[in-house]
Amino acid sequence: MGMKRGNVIALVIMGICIIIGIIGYAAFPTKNPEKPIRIMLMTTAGNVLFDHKAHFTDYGAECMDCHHDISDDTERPEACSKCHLPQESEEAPKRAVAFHKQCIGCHEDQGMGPTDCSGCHLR
Amino acid sequence: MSEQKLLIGAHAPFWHTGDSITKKNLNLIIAALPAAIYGIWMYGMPALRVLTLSVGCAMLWELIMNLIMKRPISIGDASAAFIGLVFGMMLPATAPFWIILVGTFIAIVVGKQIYGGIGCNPFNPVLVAMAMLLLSWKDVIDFNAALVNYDFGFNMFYPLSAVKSFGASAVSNYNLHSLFMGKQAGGIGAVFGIGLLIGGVYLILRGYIKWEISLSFLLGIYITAYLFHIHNPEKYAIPLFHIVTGYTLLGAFFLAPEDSSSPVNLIPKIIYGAGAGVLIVLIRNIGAFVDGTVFAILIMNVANPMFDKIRPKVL
Repeated sequence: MGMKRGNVIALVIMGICIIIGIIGYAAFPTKNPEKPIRIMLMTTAGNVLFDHKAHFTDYGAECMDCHHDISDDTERPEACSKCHLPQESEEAPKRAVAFHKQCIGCHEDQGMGPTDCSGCHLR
Repeated sequence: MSEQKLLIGAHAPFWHTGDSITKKNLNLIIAALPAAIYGIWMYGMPALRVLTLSVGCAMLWELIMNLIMKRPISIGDASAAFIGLVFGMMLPATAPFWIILVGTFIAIVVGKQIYGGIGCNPFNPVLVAMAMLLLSWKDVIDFNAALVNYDFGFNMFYPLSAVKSFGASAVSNYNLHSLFMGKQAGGIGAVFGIGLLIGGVYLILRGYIKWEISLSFLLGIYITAYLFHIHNPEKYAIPLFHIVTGYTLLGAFFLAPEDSSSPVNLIPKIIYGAGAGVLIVLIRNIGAFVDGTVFAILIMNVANPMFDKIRPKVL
């Protein structure tokens, strides 16, 4: 049984779409920027969308202010999560403690930025 | 291939534009293209691959189901392509390929084909898929998390998430005009408000969608959001904010008026559209989800068969 012309055209379009889609996923892998723009911190108390770029461009924060493990700004800082693990460890304070201390402490010191839970944690 | 109809899943009254199904679906696709192209222009290859793979997979699932069920091949009617396109438009540009495979499978197979194919689906197939994804892989559809690596020079905090978490004051720096022109985070083809509006008006003028549903849908949102806003202006955003954010305009013109899941008589259409609009704001303002469009329209889809029993008449 011959196919209708409309179905033949649709088959061709379907093939083209799938090929473009596969090539798009296979040949153009998602690249993360060298410096993160925003970071979504997944937490049980509600995720936190941390605007990393705004902190070093708009608020004048230096890399060293948070990434305390580097000697100068030319060195690429490690991600916080590399040392600050979700659970307690001997190496560094656990992630939630470190973030709360760092964020709230700095916001209080600078007199700007939220200091209460609902100021950062999304519903 | 058997042409014999096994089931006839239809009931009166019917609503007809006078065009063929293919022509109608092609016009729906054309109307959706401005918003989709804006998404591709904004995000580039990531958006293009999501949209093309979504369209292609939706058509492939339709073809596979046609062959399995020994039914005439129906991909030529462009219905599956339109479902795939709108589904892709609701996703973030960073959506992984597997979510498209799963989503289009749910839309075409679970949402459409198992009911008997085009015209027999009680729910909008796209919304069935989106509801499943929102319930099963919420983090993948979370626009804040998905778009962290994009910076276009405007506020990329998903507006509905901002107002839900931090109240109306948190969104006072969003400009309504900019939001309407697509300068916001969201689905690939859901953010370009003016493009969706132009597409919607085109469909209404050509008679492909029922204007009563779109208008009552938007009015339902506006009035409900207004009541919330005057009750507590610090917590709830202004009505126009709800109109130009989230899936609102996509819902008004491309989701709610879907043929087989929406009513055809005047009063039922108004109740259906307004009810969906009211539910959207209720879910957004006091519900568990950031955007209620998907579940609000699905709930009205469920009630749809009863609506057409209100003062029925022959069209």
